[in-house]
Parts: sequence; structure tokens; C-alpha cells
Amino acid sequence: MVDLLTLQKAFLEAYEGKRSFKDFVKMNTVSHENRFSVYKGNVEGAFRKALEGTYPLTWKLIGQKCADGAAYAFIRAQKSYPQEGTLLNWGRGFPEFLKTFEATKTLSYLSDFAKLEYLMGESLCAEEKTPLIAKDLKNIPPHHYGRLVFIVHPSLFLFYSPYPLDQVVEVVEEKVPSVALENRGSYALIIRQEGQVKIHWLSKVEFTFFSSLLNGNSLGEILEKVGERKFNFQEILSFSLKNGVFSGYTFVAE
Amino acid sequence: MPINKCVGVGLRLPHYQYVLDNTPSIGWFEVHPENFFMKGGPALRLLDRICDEYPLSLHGVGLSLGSAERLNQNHLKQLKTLIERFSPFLVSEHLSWSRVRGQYLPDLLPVPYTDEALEIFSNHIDEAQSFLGREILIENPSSYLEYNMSTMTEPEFLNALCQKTGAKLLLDINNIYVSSVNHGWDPSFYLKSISLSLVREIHLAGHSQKTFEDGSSLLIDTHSSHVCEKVWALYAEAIQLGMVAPTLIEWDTDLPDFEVLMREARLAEGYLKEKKVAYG
Ligand SMILES: [Fe+2]
Repeated sequence: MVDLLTLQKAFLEAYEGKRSFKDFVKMNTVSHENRFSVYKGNVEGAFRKALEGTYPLTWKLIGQKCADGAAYAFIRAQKSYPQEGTLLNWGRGFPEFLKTFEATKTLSYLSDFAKLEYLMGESLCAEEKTPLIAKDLKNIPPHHYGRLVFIVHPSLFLFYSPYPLDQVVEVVEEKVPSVALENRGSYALIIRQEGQVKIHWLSKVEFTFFSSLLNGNSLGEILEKVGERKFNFQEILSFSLKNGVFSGYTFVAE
Repeated sequence: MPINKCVGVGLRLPHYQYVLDNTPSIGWFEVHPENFFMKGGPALRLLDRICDEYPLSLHGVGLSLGSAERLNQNHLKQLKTLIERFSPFLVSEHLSWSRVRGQYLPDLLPVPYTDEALEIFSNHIDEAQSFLGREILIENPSSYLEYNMSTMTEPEFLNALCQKTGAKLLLDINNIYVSSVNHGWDPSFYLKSISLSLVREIHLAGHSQKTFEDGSSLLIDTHSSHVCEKVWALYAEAIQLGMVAPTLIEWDTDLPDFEVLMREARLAEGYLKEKKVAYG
């Protein structure tokens, strides 16, 4: 009699089509292939459903049939499976796969759109932290502003794409029926506000500002790097406070 | 009403808002903890609100107690965090495995009913129960194949597991029916073989039939339809045997309006209250 580990390894190999599972199955009216196929179908079906759960907007954008086709091809091409026993936000590698899948590879913006959607899922499930409000900053002496390091909210993610993803989002959200994509990039700030994920489209300078914040740079360092005159600091500060961008602050040593 | 005569419903995302808006008269809710393994966000907050109104059961699908390799410690920790936050009145898992070589295959895969598997499964239940600091229930799965190496029947294996570990049973009546049809078991004999005192929860669900190209067929535990007549009859039989326990209506695929689940729950309540002889 084989041991449990050998049996389970054989199951995995049979799932991957590398061997038959015949030797382990009690024979009767339904063939071992048909019996095993139910498990294979269940596993693949669960992966497919999980991908649709992670990428609902991508599904909407390219349609159920095309997306399901891409999902099954992705699942069958996998070299490894999830390490954790949950499929929450599973499928990080799917957007890269869409670049190579026959039916989607010509949609040049699609992979980036799916990456944006993945970050939206991450943002939704991020840790809870109370955002800073204006009142929290009022006791900071102005001469310390340069040493100020804002801690960004855990639900904040930034994403740059060389494609105008804001236009794609408008189509998916049915704000416009279709769109001629402009030849430009887009800069997204993704954040959870009151239980919902929002995307704020930024200018390149604003994006650089928030990227530096995310890298833990002090306000002084950022202003030096970005160039103080290129943007309105008061405006960006009030945007940040209004949208819950900061969850704390600290100071770098003098 | 005592909780063991209450009927609950498996709560799925599309029904959250309805439940919060209407607070329907339902005994309790059950969710899969793995759907709440996130650090924060609206899903956890919604579950907080559900918990304010209803008793909650956590029904795991990914711990993989039947794996030959060791339990995933991260999974146990996340489960414990949820238990501490939501204080569920029941915590359950399956008689199955889903992890090999550290990789997760998302299904309830069948365990061979051997002495070695019994030893490994018992050790994993011991580890989970001591880590979580509470008793867990083990559910009989629907299965689509039997191993030729098995030396015990499924009820024998379940009884022995509980005896060794102090765990209790979640008896899924639909799964008994599905597996019985798929393997030629006698579902009544299965019920009678289960130690009565071990049953702490009952599941009811719908299934479907898959017919293969060669004309053979299997029942599949799809949770996609009403509880069928034969499963109701088996439920009545279980109650007659004395298995009165909190009962859950499970519906996961092709989810209908919540009112449909309510009607199924009312039917189950009728059986539990009347304890009538409806079978045999
Ligand atoms: Fe069940």
C-alpha cells in the first residue's frame, strides 16, 4: 500500500496530466478517468472563478467568453499553484499572461488595465488605518515642515501606464459607449475611501510627488527633487487630506 | 428557540446588503473564513454588522487537514484572528485535503480511509484544536472516487477521528446522498453508522448530475439548486434517529434571491420542529 504523501503527489501529477490515477481508484461502473475528471474540472473551475473575482472589470471589458478562455489557458500554463489556502485576490500573474494569449495580445493596453485592477483589489483589502485630517497637522511648527515624512495610507497604490487607462475605465464604467484611445500615458492613484476603491488620475508631477512619498522621502527631499515651483503644494496637501492619503507622520533627523 | 432547532443559511456576498437592510428572520449564518483572510476593508466590516444581529459559523475549505504534509501555520493564524474577532458559535472544516508540495488545489479532495490517514488527520485536528483553543467540526464531503487502498468505511473513519480527537461532526445530508449514489452505498446504513452524539451541525444543499460521453454519470455537489426530495427524506430519517442539530441551507452557484433560501430554511425548520416520520 502506498503512503498518503505518495498518493497526494500522484494526484497532483495526474491533475497536471503527467500520469494516470488509475492504480489508486476502486473500479466500478464509472471509469477512473471520468471520476478523476470531476476533480480536475472542480479545481480548474475554482481557479477560473477566482480570476473573475480578482478581475471583474477585465471580464466586463473583453467579455465572458474571451476572458474565460484566457483564464483556462492561464490556469493550464501555470508552473505552480497558490501557496495559501485562499484564492482571495489570486492571479497576480494573469495580466502578464494576457500579453501572450492569442485572443488578447493585440489589445496593447489590456495587460496594464488588468494590473490596475489587481491593485484596486489589493487596495480594497488593505489594512484599516484612520487617515490624517487637517487638525492633526496644525501643531507642527512650520520650520519642521522640511523634515516631515508622511506615512501613506496602506490602501494607497500608484500605477503608471503608457496607455490612457482613464479612457478605458470610462468605457468599462459605461460613462462613454466607446472611445478612440489617445496617444498618451496615465498616472493613477488608487485608494480606498469609505469602503470603496477610487482612482484619482494625476499629472506626471503629482505622480512623482506621491511616488516620493511612498518611498519614504521627507517633504524637503521631495520639494527639492520635484522642484517646488512645478506644483501647488497647498493644493496637493488639501487633496491628500481630503482623500485620506496620509495615515501618520514622522520626522527625519535634523 | 434553542440553536439546535434553528436553521441558518450560507451567506454569500450578493445577499449581504439584503440581509443588513431587511434583517430577515433566520436562525444564523455561515461563511467561509478564507473569504475574509484580508487585512481590512468592507467585507470584514459587513461581517461585523452581520455578527451584531445573528449567530455566525465559520466553515473552512482550505485548511487541508487531510494533507500528508504539515498544516499551513499562516492559515491557522488567520483563522484564529477571525475567531477572535467574530466569536463564531461553530467552526468547521472538511474530511478532505487540498495541499501537496506546499501548493494549494482549490477543491475538497478525497482522503483514503486507512490507518495512516487516520493518524495524520487526527494529529492535524489535535494541532488545529489546540492552536484555536476550541473544538472543531468535521464535515463528510461529496466524493467522486473511492480509493482501492481504503480499509474503513467513511462513517467508521469519521467516528474514529472524533473518538481520537474530541472533534465533532458536521453531517452533510446532501453529501451522504451524492456519495452514496456515486459509490453504490446505502445512505440509510451510512446514517445509522454515525455515532449520534457526535453530530453538532447538519448541511442541506442541492446537487446536479453530470453525464459523461460513455453514458455513465455521477452526481456533483454543485450547491446550485433546491434540496431534492430524496435528501429531504434522508434529513427526516436523520432527525428520527435523533440527529437534531443546527441545520444550514447551502447554495453557492446560480444564487437565487434570498427569499428562495428563506423558503428552503422554513421547510427545514418544519422538519426540525415536528420531528415527524416522513420516511420509511
Ligand atoms: Fe456542506
